[in-house]
Amino acid sequence: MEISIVAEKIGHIGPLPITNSILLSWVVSVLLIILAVLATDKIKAIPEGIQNFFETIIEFLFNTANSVIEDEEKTRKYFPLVATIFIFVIANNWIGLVPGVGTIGLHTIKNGHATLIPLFRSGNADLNTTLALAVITMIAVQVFGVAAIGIVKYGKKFINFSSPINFFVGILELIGEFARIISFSFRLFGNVFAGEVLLVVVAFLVPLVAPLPFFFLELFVGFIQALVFTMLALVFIKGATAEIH
Amino acid sequence: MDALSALGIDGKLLIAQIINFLILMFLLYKFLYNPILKILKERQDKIAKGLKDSELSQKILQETEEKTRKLINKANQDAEKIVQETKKSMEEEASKAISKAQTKSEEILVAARNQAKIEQDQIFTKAKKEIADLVATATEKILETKQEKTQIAKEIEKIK
Repeated sequence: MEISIVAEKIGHIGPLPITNSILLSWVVSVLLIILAVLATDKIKAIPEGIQNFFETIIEFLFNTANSVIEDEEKTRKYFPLVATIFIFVIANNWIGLVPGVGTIGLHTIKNGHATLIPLFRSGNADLNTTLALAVITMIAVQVFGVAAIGIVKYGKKFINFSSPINFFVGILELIGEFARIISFSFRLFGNVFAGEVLLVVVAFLVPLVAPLPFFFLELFVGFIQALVFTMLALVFIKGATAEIH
Repeated sequence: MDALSALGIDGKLLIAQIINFLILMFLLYKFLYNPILKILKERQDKIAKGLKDSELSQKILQETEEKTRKLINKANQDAEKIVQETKKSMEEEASKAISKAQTKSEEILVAARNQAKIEQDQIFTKAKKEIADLVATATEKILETKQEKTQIAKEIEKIK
């Protein structure tokens, strides 16, 4: 049994290496877009089936976002980002639990051992994905902050010569923004990767029945991590767009 | 940089994931968030309007009911008033008619009495006259006889 912290390469498209995690995140993205088109293709005032399902999710997310932002107009502006984060993260987390993900692959010889290179790997069990989400979120937070209160006011948060204390607070804030990228990406990666490892280990030890509670646990963790990422993004947006006193 | 590659971080993959996410966000916005938020808003507005309308119609209904009740009350009062007035005027008329009839009957009575008196008087007069005539005739006759007697007595005296 070998568990790799790095997503395995399975091919190339030009200069771009294709890893099993980016492949699965593409599959997830395409599935999500197909579902979205199906949900709203024949949109009706009285919802039915898949439209109803997505309406419930969107409404839940919108109310959650609005409970943090507390301004419906603003929430509408930031909603696409936070909703996509939530949906992308939870879809990737849950699809990683589908049997076959992580087990179907190519047997190859690597460093003298017979190893399995899985075809799919949960997108969030790869730091590239979580780091990409974190970078997008933190850049978006800065953009929203500047757009909401102006570049001068927003810049004062980081570069402030009004007093030595404020100057150092500004530097700390600046470091904090980068720390947030790291905490964002490692939190999600750590949780999902740990879940994968846990499931592999439990399934290796007791293949039947025993992994079941852990599957439920991972379903729950997948939801919670998506929610945590979304809520933190919302809180950072709220903080960045608020006037500084 | 060794630490980053040990964790599997690859600039190309990172950028690919960022682009992937941005495309996903754009497409989901176009196909999911926008239409669904729009329809949710529409539904909310519709429900709010429906509630408002129902409230309004409830209010109108109440007002109408009140108006109707007032109208009925007023109509009842009017009707009662009219009935009472009619009763009153009828009673007045009746009493007038009765008093008129009384007066007339009295008049008739008086007239009848007068007539009766006149007739009585006439009868009396007539009877008096007749009695007087009769007495006169009787007296005449008696007188005649008396005169004769006196004459006889006179004659007798003369003779004496």
